[in-house]
Amino acid sequence: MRFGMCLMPLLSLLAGATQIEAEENPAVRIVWHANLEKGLALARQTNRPVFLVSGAPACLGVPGVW
Amino acid sequence: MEASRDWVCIRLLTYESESEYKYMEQLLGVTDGTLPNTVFCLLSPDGKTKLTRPTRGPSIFRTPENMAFQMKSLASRYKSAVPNSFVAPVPLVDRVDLAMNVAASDNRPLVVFYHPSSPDLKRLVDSSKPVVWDAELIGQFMYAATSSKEDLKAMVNASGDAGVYIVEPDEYGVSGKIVRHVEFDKVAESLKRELSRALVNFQPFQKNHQQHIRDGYVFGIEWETVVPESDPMSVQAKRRFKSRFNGMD
Repeated sequence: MRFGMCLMPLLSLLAGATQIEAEENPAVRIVWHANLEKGLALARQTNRPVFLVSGAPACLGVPGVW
Repeated sequence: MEASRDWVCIRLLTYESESEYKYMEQLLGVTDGTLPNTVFCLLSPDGKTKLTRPTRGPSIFRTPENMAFQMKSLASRYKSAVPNSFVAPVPLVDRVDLAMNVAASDNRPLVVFYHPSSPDLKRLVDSSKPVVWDAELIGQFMYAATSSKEDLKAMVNASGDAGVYIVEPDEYGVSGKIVRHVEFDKVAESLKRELSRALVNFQPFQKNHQQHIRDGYVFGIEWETVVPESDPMSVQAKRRFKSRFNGMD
């Protein structure tokens, strides 16, 4: 069974982690904007570059996991 | 994580918006209707100039350390256009049900702003910006806002009173438990304190990816996307898994 197509590899690289674990609470976290139009408007307004990723919050149709 | 603070980090939800789906297809340069479920690209502040080749993931950087170094270096090219006092908007997920799912996927608590009047809801969200971006709370919660009482249904025992609901999603993000509610007229004085308390008490789930999916099938929990999933590998894997799972009956 393959789960490799989900967002986990990407998130793992971002977090420096290799497996799903409950993270330290609280830990330093990325603030994600979830709306393209609003995110790009903020980038233009602040003159900050854009870190864009996309992922589906469901794996094999099951929600609650990337 | 620290390097991300110099960037506007946008995480789109691949199959949850038709217009964003089209944007990502064009960005990646793939055939119509074949968007894979992950996309990665660094862009200049105009949102048009690509700083990296659009790909499915950031593996070009090889290590998190190198990625952070490159991100710092790229960000240093741009000078901030806003004063230090600038406070960014609240990073809202567009729908409450979707925000609940994202919060569960990230293993974070969810904050839902609710007011039946749209202008008052806007005031509520805007007035919360300094707390949302407070150094102790930044990035710790997912956020959504609604003026529809219907959207509160997934939150167990929601009173329907205007204000801010702090919610712990279930493992699958299909429902959530309200752990705190801040009344509309008490937000200014209480929101930061209540979010801090909720954070201290929050216990993230220990999730096993494969077990989570198996159990999801057992419980009949399935997520329906706005745009049909089009990642060929994922679609195939889902079909295979379903047929294998159903064959186990």
